[in-house]
Amino acid sequence: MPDVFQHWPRLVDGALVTIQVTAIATPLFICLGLLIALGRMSRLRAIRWVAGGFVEVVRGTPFLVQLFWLFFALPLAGITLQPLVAGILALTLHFAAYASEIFRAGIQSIPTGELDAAKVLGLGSFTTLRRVILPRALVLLIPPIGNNIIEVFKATSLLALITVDEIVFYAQRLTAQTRQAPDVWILVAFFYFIVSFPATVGINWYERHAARRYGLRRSDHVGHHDLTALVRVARRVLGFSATTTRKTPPGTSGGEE
Amino acid sequence: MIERVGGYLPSLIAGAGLTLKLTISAMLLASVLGLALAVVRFVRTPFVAWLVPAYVTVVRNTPELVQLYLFFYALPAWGINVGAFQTATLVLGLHFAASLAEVYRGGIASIDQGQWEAAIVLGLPKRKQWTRIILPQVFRRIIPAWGNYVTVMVKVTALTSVITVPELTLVGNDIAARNFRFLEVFTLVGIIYFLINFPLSLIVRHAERRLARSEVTGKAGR
Repeated sequence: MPDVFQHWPRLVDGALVTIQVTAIATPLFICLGLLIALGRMSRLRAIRWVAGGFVEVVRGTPFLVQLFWLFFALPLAGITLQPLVAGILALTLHFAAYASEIFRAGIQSIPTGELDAAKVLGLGSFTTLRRVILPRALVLLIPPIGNNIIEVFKATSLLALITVDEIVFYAQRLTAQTRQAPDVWILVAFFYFIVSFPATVGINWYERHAARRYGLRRSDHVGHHDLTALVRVARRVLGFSATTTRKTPPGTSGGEE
Repeated sequence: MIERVGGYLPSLIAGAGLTLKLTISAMLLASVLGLALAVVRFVRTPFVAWLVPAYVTVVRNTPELVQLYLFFYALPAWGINVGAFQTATLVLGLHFAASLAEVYRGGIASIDQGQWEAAIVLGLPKRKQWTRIILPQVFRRIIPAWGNYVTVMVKVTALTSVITVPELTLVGNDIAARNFRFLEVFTLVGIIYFLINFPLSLIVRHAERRLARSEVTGKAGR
């Protein structure tokens, strides 16, 4: 066992690359995922179809195949990517597809009453998105998106197969050099665990406590811009429900309470 | 180009066949083991009740690739010499057992307390309570989630190519490297995976809709 620990520094180098790759890919896949989600709800059928097709294809094929395709196949079509770039691109595209499903579900779960209030107040589409949809959706979305970030972190392990020098890559070299292969991989597994497990615990904690704090948070921030919060507070105070015109999606009445 | 690519198809189909074989074997192991883990959690032996969440947590917070490598090297080191396919089945089965254990747990927890009370009132012993009343309802409820994991499993089998399992990805990699036709072969591999997974996901969505409908209209579900 001590035999393996002497190689610690190189594994740590790889671990840092793993974390860096995750940190770069995360904002990218979130933004792209949001864009794709909005694309799927676009009024233009062509955009809807392209976005939907992209999501179905990406979700229906293994990440490894997508990774290999971007790294090995694209050069034959003229686009050569460096391993790191190909890896980050693959992670971004793959997880953006999953994120778009999460965003789509979150946006569609906004009670239509709030959207009606926004329309009555004359808020444009962008402002509606920013002030009405996103704040509410954000609280619901952080747990699933957080889980996706952890998935990205675990998926970076595959980048070693296109020679990105993250921790698995170093571990593969070490397995060839030493005779302590199982120990090396246990160390690697341990690294992933000590990063992933606290993150999971944190997300579960947030999931349990955010729901309670959500109701308070909006009225805390009643300010000169927050007409929508005023509307919602007013509706709550006056006992209005969101079911006057259309059926409220199930599971959202808990937020209105 | 099409004719050349057509020549690769038989080998790719053979690889896809192994992908499906691996999916079925691993799903079988994972379903049985996952059910055992979930049930054990509800049968309140303090020591064992701690083991199951620990197992699930460790397995789910580690990448499948690392688990594959670990068992690939560790099993021979411990004197267990099985083939790559068996190792892959074992690792994937163990990994997905953890995920399915959570699915079963959710399903079991969602059973109305009244069902348990009825079973007890009817004088059924513990085992019959489970097999006659609770589990049949649990199985019906978790079908969408379970089906979803089947599609996930199909995609994860691609990872076993690093453990030299000759499934679709490894076969594709091999052919592409030998003939230097990465673009066509990998596109074809992607299409084959999609052709396997897309119908599966449609079935899952259909099952989800039918189950949601029957839950609303009542147990008879008509």
